[in-house]
Amino acid sequence: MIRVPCAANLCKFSQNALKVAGVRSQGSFTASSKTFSLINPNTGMQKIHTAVRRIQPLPTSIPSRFANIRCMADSKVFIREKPHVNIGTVGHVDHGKTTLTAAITKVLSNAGGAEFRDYSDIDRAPEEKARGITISTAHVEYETPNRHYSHCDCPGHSDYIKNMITGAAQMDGAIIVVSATDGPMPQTREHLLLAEQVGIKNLVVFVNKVDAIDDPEMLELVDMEMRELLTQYHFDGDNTPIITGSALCALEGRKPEIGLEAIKKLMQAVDSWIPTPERDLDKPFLMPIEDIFSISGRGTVTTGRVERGVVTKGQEVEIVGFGPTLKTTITGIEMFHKQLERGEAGDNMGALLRSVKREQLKRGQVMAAPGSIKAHRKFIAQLYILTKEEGGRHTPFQSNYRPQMFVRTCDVTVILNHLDNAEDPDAMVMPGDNVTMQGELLSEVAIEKGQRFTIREGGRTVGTGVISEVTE
Amino acid sequence: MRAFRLQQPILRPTTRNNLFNNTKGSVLPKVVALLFSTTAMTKSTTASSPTKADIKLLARLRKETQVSVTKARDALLSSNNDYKKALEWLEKDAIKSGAKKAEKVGDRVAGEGVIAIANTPNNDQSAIIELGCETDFVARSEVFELLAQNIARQAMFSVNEAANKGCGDGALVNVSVDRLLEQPLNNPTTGNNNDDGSGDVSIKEAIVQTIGKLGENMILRRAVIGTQSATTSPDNDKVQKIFGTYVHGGPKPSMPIGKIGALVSIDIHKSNTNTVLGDTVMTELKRLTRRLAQQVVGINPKFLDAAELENAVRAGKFDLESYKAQQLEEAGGSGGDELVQSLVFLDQKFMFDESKTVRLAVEEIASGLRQSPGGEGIEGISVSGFKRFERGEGVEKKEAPDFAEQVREQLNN
Repeated sequence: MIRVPCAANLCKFSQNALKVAGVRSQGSFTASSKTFSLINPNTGMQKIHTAVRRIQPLPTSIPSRFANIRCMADSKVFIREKPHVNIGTVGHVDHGKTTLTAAITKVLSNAGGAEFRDYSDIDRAPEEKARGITISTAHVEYETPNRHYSHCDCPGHSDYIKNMITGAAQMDGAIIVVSATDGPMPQTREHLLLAEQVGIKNLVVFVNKVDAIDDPEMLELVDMEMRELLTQYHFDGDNTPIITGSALCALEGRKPEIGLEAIKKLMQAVDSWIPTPERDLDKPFLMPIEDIFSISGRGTVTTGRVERGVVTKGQEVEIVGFGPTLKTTITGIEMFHKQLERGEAGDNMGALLRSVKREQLKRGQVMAAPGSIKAHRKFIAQLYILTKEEGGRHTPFQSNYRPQMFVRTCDVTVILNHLDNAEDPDAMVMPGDNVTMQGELLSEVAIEKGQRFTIREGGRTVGTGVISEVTE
Repeated sequence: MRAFRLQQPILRPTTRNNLFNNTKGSVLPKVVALLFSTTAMTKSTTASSPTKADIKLLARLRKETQVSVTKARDALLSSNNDYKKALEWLEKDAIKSGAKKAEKVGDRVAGEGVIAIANTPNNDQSAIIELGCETDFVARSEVFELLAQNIARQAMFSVNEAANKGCGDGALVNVSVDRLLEQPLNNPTTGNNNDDGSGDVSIKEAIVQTIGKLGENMILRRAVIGTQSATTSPDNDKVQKIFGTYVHGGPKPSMPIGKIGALVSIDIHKSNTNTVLGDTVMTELKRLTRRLAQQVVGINPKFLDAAELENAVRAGKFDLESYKAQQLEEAGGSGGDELVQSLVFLDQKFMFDESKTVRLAVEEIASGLRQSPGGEGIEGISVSGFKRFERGEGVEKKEAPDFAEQVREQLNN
């Protein structure tokens, strides 16, 4: 491992590494990303990764290429064996979120076995969908014996909602940090509300700064109040792990019973209480149709990138969207002009379909495991409307707004309305707003809860959204 | 070892429930009993303070006052676990400890916060204020929202104060923040709702108390009010002012707080001083002024009319050419008159009917109202001023080191 002092150098270094590895560098990746790598002499090897990026107007594969390059800089290719989980810290500004994160990083690195990988979530962000939005995300990466974590901070409600909608940040679970000296504060309710709103089911509470409290009954009170609050915001208040300790003690190596041990307990709780998200590979097969070809003598072939799941030759699939669902069988799978038995999430493949005519298919439909997805017309979604600076609209819009909606490979007109038009008939949506609206599509399209999309108007992206509920 | 014990579920569900019940419903008799017993105890042990705070009282104190655990304990310890005395102690302490906290957090950037508006039922007085804080979590908390709403309401009633100062900006008056801070505030956040005003604190004190409670820096950044007496026109008494307010991006449309707000004033020119506008006419005018304020929030005009723009350009306050160049670069394509139009409120397309300018829309409504019962005395309606507040506008935000970097710093220390 070589110490790399700054982002620019890292990139240069990576390019050199590429040359060494015999790979040609394919364009500039320095402009949009910065990375830090650090080695702490006291704590062994660890890396903290930061990515601040402006998503480029045109999608390229640069981010993922960049990630690969960095792996090469590590001199061995990173193979992810442990399940990956995204978590975050939420709490009051003075309650020690940063100290806690530093303490976790330190304790885990000292525990040995845990090697810190420089791995970012960049691949995951649907940049091709969220074009033009400035997103800033900073993660710290670490791993326990069981899992690999990407840890982000959550400094603001609307910033996080925006990141959630655009897919830039995502938390599978969160650590709520509360100081024992203050206890839950009025804004703690807002922290829980955010977690609830972005669909986090499992929280772990860390009651920090217990070294400043000498009355155990007071800690009991904080515990009790937190459980009551959790229940109030629809979390499992009775069973949520609440760990008491002092992040500062852990960081400074003092009082191991409330320092080191508490951090270990905390991470055990995080490991066990926050469930591992289902991998794309384990989900039912789905491939959005990008293109359709008619190959004489063979039949109709659809191409696209498999979004999730696995498909094998001979398997039955459904074609969903734009009209009634079609049933067919995949009689051949092709990738890079080779015949294959199997295609899986992430593959760009072509599928030969039995007894389907080219005219029956359309870009924007999806090919999916039977019964796994249906076409719908109406939904409720959370939207982020791009600001003027992000290339979005300059002016507000009102109900009955009709932009184009891009979802997967599909492009369809949507009518957007406020949830309750009667409440304020003059209600408007401004650039920069996070807003929940109901949408009605002019044709039925395969959509589901959690599906991300963008809305465009006059050739530019004006917003991005995530479906929170399919209604019809 | 204490920490370990506490990681186990400390309170079995039943105990916990009991505690809750106590704090919610049946607590009073017990507290009264406790009160007596402690008073009795105080008599015998004279002045020696207890070493332990009563946990039930602590829980109740927290629920009612939302003070920190430590503060609630201090209050109980220094008042011998006497609930009433503890409340008094907290009340006295609130400003003191708030001030201490305020000093500690005073240099932190308060770029979040809310814009709050206030309007009288008949739209004859109104106010818009900005109250800043550090995170939008705090900005969204009820305590903060209430404080902002109360300040806006108070600002509205500080009309005379402001009008006397004569710092008019057309029909709307900039209120000196320093003077506003000294105004009394009937502050529900501390529970001081005494009708006689004895529990009143100043706005400044209320903010300081809230800083103590929420632990973030807060700043009353600016305030503008609309008031009848602010007019300087010669035929003063024939002009009735109506104010429209709108605020966008709040938690609910019905709440007078949000991210961006506007205050618009229109002058109703009446044929006679004594003309009283009918109810339906008033309803229509309220709707108009709200829509005008909404337009100001949505389209963000910079000047009221072409004359104001010209004056600003002539006085060197506004560089029209570089503005045009910048806009052309950003938007590409459209330019010229359209750009100038979008700067001037009265020349903008009316959001609610894009076939008209704002000026025309107002004129049409005026002539329409003249025909309707109760509006006969209207000679004309003119827009006399507007003010737009955007949260955090002009606040210099320090580029905060990002999270990963902060963590790294801590690790290296």
